[in-house]
Amino acid sequence: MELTQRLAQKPHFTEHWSMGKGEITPLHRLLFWFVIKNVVPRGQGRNLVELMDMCFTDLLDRCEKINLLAIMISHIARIANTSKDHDMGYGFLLTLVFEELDIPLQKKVSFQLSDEIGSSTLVGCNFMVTKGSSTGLEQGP
Amino acid sequence: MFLEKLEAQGWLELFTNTKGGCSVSELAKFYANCVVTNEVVTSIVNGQKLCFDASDLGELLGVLAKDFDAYVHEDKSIYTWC
Repeated sequence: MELTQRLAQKPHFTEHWSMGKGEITPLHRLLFWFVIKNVVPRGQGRNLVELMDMCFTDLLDRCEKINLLAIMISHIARIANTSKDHDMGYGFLLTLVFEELDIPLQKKVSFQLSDEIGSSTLVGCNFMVTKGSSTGLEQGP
Repeated sequence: MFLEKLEAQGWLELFTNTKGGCSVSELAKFYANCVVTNEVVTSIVNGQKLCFDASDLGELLGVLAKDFDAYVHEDKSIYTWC
C-alpha cells in the first residue's frame, strides 16, 4: 500500500497489487518504462504496473542497487523455457555480449538517436498539445 | 534526474552507449539454443558456444553483480511489506 501510494502520489489510493500506467507520476512512469524495456523486458501487459514493477521502479527512484545481472540470467531462463509467446528480451545487452565474445554478427540495427521530444512523449507526461502553436503546451491535471 | 538514477546503479555508461544496437538474427539463434542450468546460461550462436553466469556477464557488460537478487530466488516473502 505504501509503495503504490508513493508511486501514484495519491495518499488515499487503495490498490495493493497492480495499477494502470496512468496512475503513477511522470517520473515513475519513465522509470517503469525503463524497467519493462531493460530490467525485466516484456512484450505484453505494458500498461499495467504490477508489484514486481513497482518494486524495481521504486528501487530505481530511491537509487537502491538492483542486481541487473542476476535478474537477466533468471529472466533469460524464463524467456527460453516458456511455452507462451515471449519477446526476445535484452536485445541490446546480449548483442553487446556477442560483440565482446567476437561472434560475427550478420546485421546490427543501430540505435535511432533523436534530440527532439515528440507529441506522444509530451502527452505521456500529462501535457496537453494544442495544434499549430509552439506555445500551446499546458500541464494536465 | 533520470540519468542520475542510472548513474547510481552504475548503468549510465552501459545504457548511454550510442554505438550499441541489436542483432535480431543472432538474438533469435541465442534464444533458440539457450539452456539455463544452475544460473549458468549456455547457447550456440553462429557455431560458437557461449557460456556465462552473472559474474561473467558483469565483466562482459562492465557492471558489478551484487546486492539484490530476490527475483532469482523467487522469495516473494520480501514483498509482504508492500
